Amino acid sequence: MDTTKQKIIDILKKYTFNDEVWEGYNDDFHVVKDLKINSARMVDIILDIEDEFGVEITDEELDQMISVRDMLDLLKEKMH
Amino acid sequence: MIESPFMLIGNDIVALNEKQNLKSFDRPGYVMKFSFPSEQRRCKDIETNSTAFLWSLKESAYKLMQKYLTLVPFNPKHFQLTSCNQFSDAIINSSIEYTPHKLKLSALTHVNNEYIHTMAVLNQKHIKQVHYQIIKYAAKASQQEISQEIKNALIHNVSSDLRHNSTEKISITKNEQGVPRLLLNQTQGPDISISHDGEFGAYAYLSAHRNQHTNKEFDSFL
Repeated sequence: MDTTKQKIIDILKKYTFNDEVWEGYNDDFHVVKDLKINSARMVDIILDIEDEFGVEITDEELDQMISVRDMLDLLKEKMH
Repeated sequence: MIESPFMLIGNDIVALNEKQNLKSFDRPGYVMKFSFPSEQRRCKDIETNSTAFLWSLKESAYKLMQKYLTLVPFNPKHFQLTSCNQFSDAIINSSIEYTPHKLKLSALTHVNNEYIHTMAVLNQKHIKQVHYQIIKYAAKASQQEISQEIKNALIHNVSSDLRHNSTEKISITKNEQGVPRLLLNQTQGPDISISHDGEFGAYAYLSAHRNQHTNKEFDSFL
């Protein structure tokens, strides 16, 4: 697994209630719907991503942060 | 601004003493990430945690819009608080705009020292048809237990409200977006919304019938 993806998953794991939600994981998992993360934690996740990768997620980009793949694609775009 | 006739509801409860909430709400940059300074100024005189209040408003409105428009991206900045009035220590009446569609929503928030619970509707007139209950759980209860108990209480009260003969004919399922729906004999029943946070759970639904379970302080506002 590449480092960016591992870092994103480590961030998300801080906010999941149990390991069961990760069963059958794929990058298309929705953060709120599939990983059952409380939506109030989405703001924490965005702040964690900004801190970890030294990027800023704009208000417009919040729209794109639905699945893990969305997060990875956005980060790829911002870091290159 | 548009006001819709559709009878839809979204609710959200925030447990004020939940450790993760306290940590998040105090985190530098947190409030700015999901709200505007104008909104923070608008609710500065509200006698509760204003960050939790703003979050509860936006989340309840988001849950409602998920049903109205189906695919609504999660973006709390699309929901802007346009006015709020504290009716009493416990009740706050607010207006919210869903800015991409210039759609006006109304919300009622019930606050106390332990939680903030907001219910958003598309039309101010529907506030009178809101039924809700807040349930406090044992600290040890699992998320699944809490979720099941809220659903059971909701089914029981809808059944009693509609003078339904058997609770077996009422069920709660989720649609493809994960949004709960109440079915009466396999057909769409009143619109519902369910929320839980920490040791609190809450449900809300819209129905033409008034309900004995409606909170008394809230009732006096209506």
